[in-house]
Amino acid sequence: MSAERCYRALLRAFPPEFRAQFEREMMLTFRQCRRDAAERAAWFWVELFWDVARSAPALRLEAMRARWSVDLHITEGAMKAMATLATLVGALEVVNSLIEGVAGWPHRDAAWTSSVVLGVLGGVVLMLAGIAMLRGRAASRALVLGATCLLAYALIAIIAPVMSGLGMLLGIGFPIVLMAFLFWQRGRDTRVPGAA
Amino acid sequence: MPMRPDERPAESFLPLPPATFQVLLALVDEERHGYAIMKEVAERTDGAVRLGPGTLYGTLKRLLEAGLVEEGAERADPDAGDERRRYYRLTKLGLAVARAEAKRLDKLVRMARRKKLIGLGPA
Repeated sequence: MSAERCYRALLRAFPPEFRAQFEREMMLTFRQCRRDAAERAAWFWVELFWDVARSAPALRLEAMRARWSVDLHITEGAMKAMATLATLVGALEVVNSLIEGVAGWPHRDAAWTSSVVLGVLGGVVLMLAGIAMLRGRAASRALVLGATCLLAYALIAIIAPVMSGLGMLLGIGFPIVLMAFLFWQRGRDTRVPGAA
Repeated sequence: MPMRPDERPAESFLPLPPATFQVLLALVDEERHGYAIMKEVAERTDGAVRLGPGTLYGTLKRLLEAGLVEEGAERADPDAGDERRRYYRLTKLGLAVARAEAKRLDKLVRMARRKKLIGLGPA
C-alpha cells in the first residue's frame, strides 16, 4: 500500500462531513510534510498516527453532539405536540362526560353518577398531564397522571359504560399511547428540553 | 435564542487552547494555507509546537464555525507547486480574540514576574 493510500485510510477515522470539507487539503499537507520528513520517515509516521488518534475521536464526538442536538429539537417538537394533544383530548373527555351526564340525567343511579364523575376526573387528569408536559415538568409526573386517567376510564368500563364508543376509545387508548411515548422519551430526556 | 458568533464579546472565547492561539498568531500577519500555518508555528516555536494535519484542520474547522477565521480565495502556492490551496485569514473578531488572549497571557506573565517566579528580562 502506498503512503498516500495508507494516510487516506487513516483519514477514515475522521467524521465524513469533516473529510468532505478538509480531506483534499489534508492530503496536500500530508504530501508536503512527508517530503520534509524524508530522513525521519519512521518518526514521521509515529507523529502522524498520534495526531489522528488525538484529533479524530474529539471531532467524531463533536459531530455526534451536533447530530444529537438536531435530534433533540425533533424530540422537543414531538413532546410539545403530544402535550398539546393530551390537553385537547382531556378537555374533550371532560366536555363529553358532562354531555353524557346531562343526557342521561333522568336515569341516574350510583354507578352511573360515579362513571360520569370518573369521566370528568379522567379528562381533567389528562389535561393536567398535558399542561405538566408543556410546562416542562418531569415526564414521570405526566406518566403518573396518564396512568391515573387510564385507571379512571378502565373503572368506567367496569362500573357503567355511560360514554360513547369514541369517548371510551379515546379515554383508554390515548393514555396508553401517551404513556408509551413518555416511556420511550425517558431514555432520551426526562424533561421537556428548553424548560427550566 | 443563541447568540451569533460575531455578536459574542472577544473575552467570552478565553482562555484559548494553545493550538488555537498558535493558529490565530500564524494568521495575524497574512493569510496562509494549512501547510504554511504548520510551518510558521513550527519555526516560530523552534519546533516545540508541531501541529499535525488532524489537529490543524480540526482547529481550523472550529475557528471557521466560531467566525474567528474565514476562507480566502483558493490559489496555487508559488513555493509549493501548482496545486491550488485554500487560504485562511483572520476575521475582525478573530483578531480581537487573539489580542484579548495575548493580553491575558501578558497579565499572567507580569504577575509571575512580580512574584519573582521569573526574571525581569525575557523568560
